[in-house]
Amino acid sequence: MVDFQIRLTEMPVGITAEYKETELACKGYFCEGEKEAFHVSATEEDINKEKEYFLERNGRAKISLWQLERSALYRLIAEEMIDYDRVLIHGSALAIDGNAYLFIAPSGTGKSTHTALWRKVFGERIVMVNDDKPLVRMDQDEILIYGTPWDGKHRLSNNIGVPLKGIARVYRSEDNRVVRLSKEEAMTRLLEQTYRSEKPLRVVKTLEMLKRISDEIPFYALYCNMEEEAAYTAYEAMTKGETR
Amino acid sequence: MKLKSEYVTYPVDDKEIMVGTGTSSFKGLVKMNASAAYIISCLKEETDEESIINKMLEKYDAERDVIAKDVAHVVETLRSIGALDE
Repeated sequence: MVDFQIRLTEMPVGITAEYKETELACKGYFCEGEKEAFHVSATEEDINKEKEYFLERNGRAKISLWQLERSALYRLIAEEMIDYDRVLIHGSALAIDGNAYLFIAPSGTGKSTHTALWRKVFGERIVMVNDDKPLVRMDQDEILIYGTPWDGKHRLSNNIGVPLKGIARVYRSEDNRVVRLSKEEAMTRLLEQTYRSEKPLRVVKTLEMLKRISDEIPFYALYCNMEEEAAYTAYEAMTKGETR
Repeated sequence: MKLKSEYVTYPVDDKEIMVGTGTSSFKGLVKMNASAAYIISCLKEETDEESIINKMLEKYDAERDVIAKDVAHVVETLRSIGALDE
């Protein structure tokens, strides 16, 4: 049994875990002796539930117990975060010149492949925020996106929060083009990739946050291939704002 | 019949949307106009089609047949996604 604290979206969170590996995987996010916003630990039931989710998605693939514990813990964290105006959105987020951009799509579409192209094209100007499951925070004046230790199979994240300036739903395509979508379309697509609580009130709170995100942040459909041109096309449209 | 408690509605601009919680089998989003939203609000308490139609007649200036058809359509949609307790 291990007991530790991590700083997530500028909030100290306490974790009690069964496995040492679970703690080690939080490297880069530790803090100590702080007043915890909340504390989580996964019960056997949480872990069994996580295993069911995993098998549903991945068939008979193998996964270790500590990885199940790790996913179960993030589910518990995402649940609590809703009460603190933070929402978990599944996607790959990067920062360039101090602004963050988020790419969302179902697993296997090529979000990470696309953000890898940005790193290849723009080199050191790119800082990865979170390659898989960033938390988005509704601040009074702006919306920020954060790195967390739950950062995908390539473990790409930084313990930072960056103002979110654009979101794209990624679609695989032969050519590269970007279309600006309406707030209503944004809401629908965001919902598909957002953590959904089992508690009705928290679902309403989540919808409230997604509504604010779709109102304030430009949303695009990015049709792209795996050529470097895809990164340039997305960059032109997303960093230069209005492209309608 | 009654709308299951794991469905929530939320206003977005001039429309209302309905989504299920993490436990519901339906993962999508239902967009509604004002009258559909009103029908769903009636379904938040145990009721039947007849009572909803009567409430609608008080609220909207429309023929009974037209309203009955609207109510049947909304109820059928909710039933198809498993959102009703009956």
